[in-house]
Amino acid sequence: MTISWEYFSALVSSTFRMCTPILLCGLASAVCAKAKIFNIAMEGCMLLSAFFGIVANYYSGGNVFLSVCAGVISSVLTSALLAVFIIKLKASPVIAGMAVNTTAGGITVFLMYIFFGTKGLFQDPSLKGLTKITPFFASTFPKMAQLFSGLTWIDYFSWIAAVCIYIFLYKTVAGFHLRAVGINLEAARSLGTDVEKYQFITLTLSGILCGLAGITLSMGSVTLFIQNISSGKGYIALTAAQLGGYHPLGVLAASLFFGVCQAIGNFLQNTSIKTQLSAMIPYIATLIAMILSYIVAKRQSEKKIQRSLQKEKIQ
Amino acid sequence: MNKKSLLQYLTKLWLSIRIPLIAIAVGFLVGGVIITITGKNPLTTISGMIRGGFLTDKAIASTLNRSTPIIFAGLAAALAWGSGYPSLGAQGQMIIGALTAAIIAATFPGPAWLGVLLAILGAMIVGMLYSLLGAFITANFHAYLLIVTLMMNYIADYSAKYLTTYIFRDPNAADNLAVQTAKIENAILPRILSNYVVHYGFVIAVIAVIAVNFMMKHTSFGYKARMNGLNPSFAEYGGVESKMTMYKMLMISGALAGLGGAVEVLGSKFRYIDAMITSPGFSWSGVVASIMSNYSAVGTFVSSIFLAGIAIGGSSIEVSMGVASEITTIIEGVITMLITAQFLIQHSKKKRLRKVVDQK
Repeated sequence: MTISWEYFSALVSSTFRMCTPILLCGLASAVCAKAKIFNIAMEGCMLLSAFFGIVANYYSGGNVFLSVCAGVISSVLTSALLAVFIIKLKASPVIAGMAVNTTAGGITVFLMYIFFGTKGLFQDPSLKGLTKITPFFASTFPKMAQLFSGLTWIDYFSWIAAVCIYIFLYKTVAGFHLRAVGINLEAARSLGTDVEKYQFITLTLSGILCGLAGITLSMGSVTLFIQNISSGKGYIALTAAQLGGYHPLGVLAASLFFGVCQAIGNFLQNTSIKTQLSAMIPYIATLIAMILSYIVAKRQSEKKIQRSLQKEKIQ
Repeated sequence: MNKKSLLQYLTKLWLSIRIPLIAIAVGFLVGGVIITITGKNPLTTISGMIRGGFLTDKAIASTLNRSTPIIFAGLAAALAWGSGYPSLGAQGQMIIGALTAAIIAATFPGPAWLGVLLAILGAMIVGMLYSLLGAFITANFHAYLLIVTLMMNYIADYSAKYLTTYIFRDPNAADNLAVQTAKIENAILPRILSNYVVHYGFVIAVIAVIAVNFMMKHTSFGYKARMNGLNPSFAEYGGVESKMTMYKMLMISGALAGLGGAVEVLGSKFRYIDAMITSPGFSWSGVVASIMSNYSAVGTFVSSIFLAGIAIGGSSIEVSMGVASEITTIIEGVITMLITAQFLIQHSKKKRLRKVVDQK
């Protein structure tokens, strides 16, 4: 198999597309983690947004703006509900989050049956996907532009979001307060920070990111809704956030890694390797990445200790 | 005296089932509201659901049949979550347990009872080892058990899909699209009564409930594990080896889940069919059942039968009234949210405090 430029550029652009939902959800998870909330409900929020995006798309006759709004609003409302349960009612974040995920799976199929009369796949010619953006240098460097083919504004937005969240967390006062909540909740409270308010707003606003991620699933490279379209991407994003050290730019790097894995998995479907095996790649990669990141981190900390020991000897 | 102890027992029972009962009532209420919004009559739909799940002899038999794998998944979850290790791996363990049992039972040439025994043992060992792998990764690489087990569920599901499609596919399948293994001829768990679908797997489930109940309440290992679930740092201080407890607990939990998968194959489906574990959501129902009963074995048993009943009722109204059976998942979700939210407990605590203040 010779690797031509076309093949390579298709792989790269597919990586970018696959990276987007994981990056957006990973950012949501990272921001929540900074505010000391364990958010596992990205999967459910994404699924609801993907579904309501398609519903609004169908009933508004292909109005993309309305669809994005519908998807994001459904995700934000779900996140707000979850925030009430976790922060105000002291529910276990794991159980409440998983309940949101499974209920979202149930609600989408239940409503799909009512709206479209089917339970598996819904596709209609009247549905319109997100507009694809051609890069501004497409006419001067057509070969370079192939790397970015088929990307929508949400794909570009996800990278900007990573940088913006980085600036917000590390360069603004509100971001500083937010991180203080995560580092020491009681200390932050004693300094007069309204911890609950910060947590509530963070979790609710993380719904926007999950909502956009959901929209890319159902209206990005394909425009349709399949039962359980999120297929564990929310959980992979949780790992991406963890691997990225809950730092927005670290999350970006980790999501690119998972994007590559997904893209390779998709590409192998066209070869002699069986679909069932190539579909496993992202999940195996997640496990291996978890193990490797721990080994690397451990080795680094050991080196640090050795170095400080040597310094002491010299002194 | 006897009368008083009975009264005490009843109050204790009432206190432990009060919150789940309120949650169930609210769950049905929310379900009713959703049904009303979709333009159906909520009263006839929900009464149809209850009738379809609990009120005829055939319905009770199918409810008990469906509850069997949920009880095993529930026990697996109760052991893992109750000792402080929130694992969602029961699904993957059930899948590979079911596939193993299907292959052993279909190919074993000897007597049927030995085939059943070997299939069950094989499934338990495979489930145990798969759970051990997850525990190993979690303990040694500081990963979240939850995420590790979730990823392993996907891996188990796709592996089983691959194996059933290309290696163990039923050669006599009438339908070319059916992804399933060959039918088990002899080595099956027979029905308890020939007219009803409920099979001896249910009896095994009852035995498992009694065994787990005994282990958690009357052995020092169970006590240590429960203490670890209530307060890990306190348990560690008191000399509980957290890592060993985790390995042992997750291994038992995995074996139970594998057994659950095997029983579903040997007693109900007689072969491994693709998505037979994932599509009904046995694993999550088991987790919900264990949460509803605060991780007690007997409570998990009762809750599993209830959840199986509304699932059976849900599929019966899908046929008769055109309401999608996923309404069950929604009701289940509402119940879970309410039980984990603890505001019912907080409310009663406040009431009690107010009483104390008033008396003073």
